[in-house]
Amino acid sequence: MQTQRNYATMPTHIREEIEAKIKAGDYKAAFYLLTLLIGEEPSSSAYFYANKIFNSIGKELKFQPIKIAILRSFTIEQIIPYLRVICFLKKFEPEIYIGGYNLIDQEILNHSSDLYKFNPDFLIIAARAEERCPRLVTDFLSLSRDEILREIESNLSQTEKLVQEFRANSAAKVILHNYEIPEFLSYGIFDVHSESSQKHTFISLNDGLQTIAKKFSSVFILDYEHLTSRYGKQDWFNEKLWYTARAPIAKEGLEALAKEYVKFLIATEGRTKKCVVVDLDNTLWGGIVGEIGWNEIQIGQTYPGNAYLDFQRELLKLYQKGIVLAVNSKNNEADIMEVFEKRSEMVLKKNHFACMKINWENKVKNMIEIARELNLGIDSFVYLDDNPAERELVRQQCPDVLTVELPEHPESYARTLKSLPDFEKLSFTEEDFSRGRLYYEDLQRKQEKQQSTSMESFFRSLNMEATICKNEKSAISRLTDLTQKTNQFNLTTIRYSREDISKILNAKNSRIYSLRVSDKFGDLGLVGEIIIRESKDTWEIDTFLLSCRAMGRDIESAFLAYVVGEAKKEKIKWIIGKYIPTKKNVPSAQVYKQLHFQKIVEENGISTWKFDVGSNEIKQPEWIRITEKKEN
Amino acid sequence: MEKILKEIMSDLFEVSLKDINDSSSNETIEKWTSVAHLNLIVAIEEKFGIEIAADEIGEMLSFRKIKEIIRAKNVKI
Repeated sequence: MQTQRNYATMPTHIREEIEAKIKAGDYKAAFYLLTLLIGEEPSSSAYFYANKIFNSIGKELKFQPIKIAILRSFTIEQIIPYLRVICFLKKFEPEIYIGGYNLIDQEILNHSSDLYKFNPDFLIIAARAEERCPRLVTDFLSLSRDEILREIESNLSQTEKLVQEFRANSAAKVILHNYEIPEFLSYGIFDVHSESSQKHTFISLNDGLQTIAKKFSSVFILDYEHLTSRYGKQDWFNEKLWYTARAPIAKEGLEALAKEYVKFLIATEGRTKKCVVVDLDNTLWGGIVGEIGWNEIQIGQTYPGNAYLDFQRELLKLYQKGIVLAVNSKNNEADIMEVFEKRSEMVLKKNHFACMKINWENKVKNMIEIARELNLGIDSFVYLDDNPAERELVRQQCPDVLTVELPEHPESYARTLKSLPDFEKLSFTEEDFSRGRLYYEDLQRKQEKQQSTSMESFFRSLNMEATICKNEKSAISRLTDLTQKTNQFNLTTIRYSREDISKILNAKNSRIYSLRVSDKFGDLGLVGEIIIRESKDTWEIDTFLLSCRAMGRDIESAFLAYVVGEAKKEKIKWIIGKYIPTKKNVPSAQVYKQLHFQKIVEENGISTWKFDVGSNEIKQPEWIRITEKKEN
Repeated sequence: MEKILKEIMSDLFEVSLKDINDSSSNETIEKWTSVAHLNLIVAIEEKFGIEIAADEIGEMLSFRKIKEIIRAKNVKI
C-alpha cells in the first residue's frame, strides 16, 4: 500500500504557480503543474482544487471531448470531481451526465429520457445487487435453491433487456458493473460448504452478465467485484455516508472507480501506450554497474534484488502483451552487455528490447532517436527512471512522453507499473503477442541495411513477400486495431469500431484489402489496410494505412498497385483518394503524388486525388513478391 | 486554519475566498448541494485528521457551524 502522507501540508506554492500560469495564458504549463500536484498528493481537496481549475481552463486545453453518462442504483454524484480530473489528466475533456437516483430502467426504456437527449459516447451502468436483486443480499437465508435461481434469472433477463434496448437506440459504448460479492456471507464460514452458497450465487450472476456483454458489440463488463476485493471491501464501503446519504463508496473507492472508468476510455479511444523506455542502473537492478561491476549489481532472490526482479517480470508481461521495450541509459555499452550475458537471474534479456541507447548522450536526444528508429509517436512512450533529475529533464523537454514518478524504494516499483492505466486494452490480437519478436527482427534488419550499399540492394536482400486478401473477416480485430492505432502512414486517420469494420466487410458497396508482409528475418504480420467505398465506376479510398513497422520499404506502391489491378479487372474508371493532414501523418503526405495520382482539389489542407485506371498504372516494385489469398 | 477550511469550500463550491464568511451557508452558496456536502465532509475529515459523526453531517450546513464542530474536536480553527 502507499504510505500515508500528511495532507495538511498541501503545497500552496504550486497553487500560486498554477494561477500565475493561467493568468499568463500558459494553460499547458498549468496543466503540467496540476499533473504534478495530483501525482504528489491525491487528496480529495487536491482533486476539488484541480476540478475547479479544469472547470475554468478545460476548454482551452483542446483535449478530446467525451460524453459520459452514468446510470446508477445509488448515490454516486461525489465521483464527478475525481472522474473529471482523471479524465483531464489523461487528456480527455469530459462532460458527465448522471441519471436519476435508481432510475436505470426508466432512463433506458423511455426513449425521450434525458439519457438519450444527452447522447453519450459512453454509458456506465453502476448497479449494485443491494438495489437490483436485494433478496440475494439481505434475504438470502430464506430463499430456496429454486428461488435463488429464479432471482438470478430475472435479474439477468432484465439486464439483457436493458442492454438490448439501449443498443437498439444508441451506439455508445457500454460499461456494465458486475456485482460485488457481499463482504460478509450470510452463512458465514459455512457458505463455502453450503449447497446454496451465496458466493457462488454471485459468481453465477456475474458469469451471466459476462455472457450478456458478449452478445452485443462494445458492451464491456467492469469487474466491480474484483475492484472492491483488490481494494478491500471493508475500506471500500463508507457506512456513515451510506446510512446518511445512500452513498456507499468511500473516497478512495471513488478515486479508484474513476480511474477504472478512464482505463476503458484509454482502451477504446486508442490511447494505449505502445512503448516503455527504461533506465538501467537502480531501475532494472540495484547499484551502478559502471562502479561496482556486473557481478555486484543487485538482482536475484534477496532484497533488494528480488524487488527489481519482480519489476522486470512486470515489464516482461508488458512485452508479452505487445508493448515495445527500449533502453535509454548513461553507461558504457560493454558493461551492460556483460550484465545481459553473465547475470542469468535477469528476467529481461537482450532480445526483449527493440532498441537500446546506451551512451553518454543527453537522454532527451536518445528518447527522440528511439522514437524515430522505432517509428512510433513519442506521445505513445512511457519513461521509467529512478533519477528525479533525468525525469524532470524528460518531462520538460518531451512533455508528450508519460514520465512516471517512480517511488523512492524498489519494492514499490512493480506496483507502480501495475497501477498505470495507460497500457489497458480490450482486445488482443496475434500481432500483439508477437510484436516484441517483430521489433527485434527489425533491429537485425536495420543492421543489414547499414551494410547494404543502396536502398534497392537492401530491399532486394530482404526477399519480401506480400500477401493480399480481400474482406478477411477472420482478421476483424486486427483490421479494427489498425484503424484505431495507426498514425503516421494513415492518409485519412478515420477511426473505426469493430462494429463499423464488420459493416464495411459485409456491405455490397465496400471492401477491405488487407496486407501481410514477410521477409527473410521473419513475419511482420498484417500490416496494411485499404478500405474502398464503391460506386458505379469509381472506387474511393476511404482508408489507406500501413503499420509503422512496414514503412520505408516501398510496400505501399506494391499494395496500391495491386488494388489498381483489381479495379482494372472490375472495369472501374477512377480511383479517388484523400489526404487529411493530422499532427502525425506528415510521413504519408506525399504518397498519392508519388504514386502519380492527380490532385483535383485542396480545401482546408485536405487534398483530393484522382487516378485514371484506364490509362495509368502503378509500377509494381520487382523486389516484392505478391500472393493473393482467398478468405475461406 | 480558518483559511484552509475556506480554501476547501472555495474549491468545492467555486466561490472566491472573500465571499466565505460566518453567514455563509448552504442557503447562500448555490453549489453547496447535498451531494457537494458529502465531498465537503470527506475533505474536512481528511484535511484536519478528524472523524465527523453521522449525526453531525446534517448540522454542518454553515461556515460558522462547521468551525464550531471542528473546534469541539480540539482542532484550532
